[in-house]
Amino acid sequence: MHKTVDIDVGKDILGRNRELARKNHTFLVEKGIRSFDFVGSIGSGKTLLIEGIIELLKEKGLRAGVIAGDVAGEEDYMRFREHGVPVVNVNTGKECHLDAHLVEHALDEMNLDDLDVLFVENVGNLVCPGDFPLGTDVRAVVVSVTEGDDMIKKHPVIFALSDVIVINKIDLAEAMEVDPKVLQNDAHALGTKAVVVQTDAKHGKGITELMDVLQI
Amino acid sequence: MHEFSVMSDVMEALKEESLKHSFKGVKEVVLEVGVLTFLAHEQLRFSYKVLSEGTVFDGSELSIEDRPAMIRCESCGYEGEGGFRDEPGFHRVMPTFSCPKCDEPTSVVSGNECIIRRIVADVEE
Repeated sequence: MHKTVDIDVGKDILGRNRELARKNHTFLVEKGIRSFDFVGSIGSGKTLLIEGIIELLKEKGLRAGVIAGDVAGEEDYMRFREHGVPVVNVNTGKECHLDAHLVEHALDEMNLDDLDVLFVENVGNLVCPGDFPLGTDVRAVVVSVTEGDDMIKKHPVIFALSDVIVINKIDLAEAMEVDPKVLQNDAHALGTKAVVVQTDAKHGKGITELMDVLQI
Repeated sequence: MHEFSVMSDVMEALKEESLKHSFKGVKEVVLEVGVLTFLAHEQLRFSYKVLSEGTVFDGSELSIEDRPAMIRCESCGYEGEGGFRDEPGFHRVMPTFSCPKCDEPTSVVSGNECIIRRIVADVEE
């Protein structure tokens, strides 16, 4: 004879990633490393922003490392290597985001002893990384004016879940007929604590301000 | 976009439960999905159908319930549901996380989970 049972499971499937993220965070804090996860669309300027910060950190005598996440290829990895910093390339193959597990493995591969700062460049995507915190101190989301003035309206949740919102490529705002203020206002309309910074990574503008916000 | 891989993890956990309780048949699985996740319900259902084929979960119903976004305001101490606002300029109803009491920015406490809440199944008496 069979009987029907109603079992309360209460298991959070995304919770496993969050647990690993907490573990990564504790590990990085114990190492004295400040860490940043950069998310944003493909081509929003994440790599160039991180490159700009790395160079300014050198002037301060601070050493950065990078975990470069992409679906495929070594393009960003090679660019970071040119700056003489430790880099681990993570190709997700098919996945549309990095997760805490992949970052944990990347941390295993990196010599963290001399590092002050760690950047994780996520896969270019404004959707999926939202479900997968990595355990960094700060998540920064980059949006460029070349994507139009409606990206925050189209992807409110990832912006709402980020600590810093970077509006990049403001040098192209006029040519694109995009008013960065629209993005700025949309960011504030979310009502989170996210700090908004405008940058022109190509010409190194706003990088110092961004570093102030990131407290590095 | 990552519904299939998340559902693969759900199926693994469901199979563990099935082994633990020796399910003879499964009627229903209830998932609670946070409104701040990027998991589309339709794609979750499709993934469930595909991944449950040939298992004891084959043919069972997958019920998906929303979990609200909860926020905490450090300025006034409010803790409760975050708001959604249907702004004319926005393409969809957008989340707003300002405190409903004092309008200050808040922190998101929950709403980003994917919880296996219940399994209704037949077991040997």
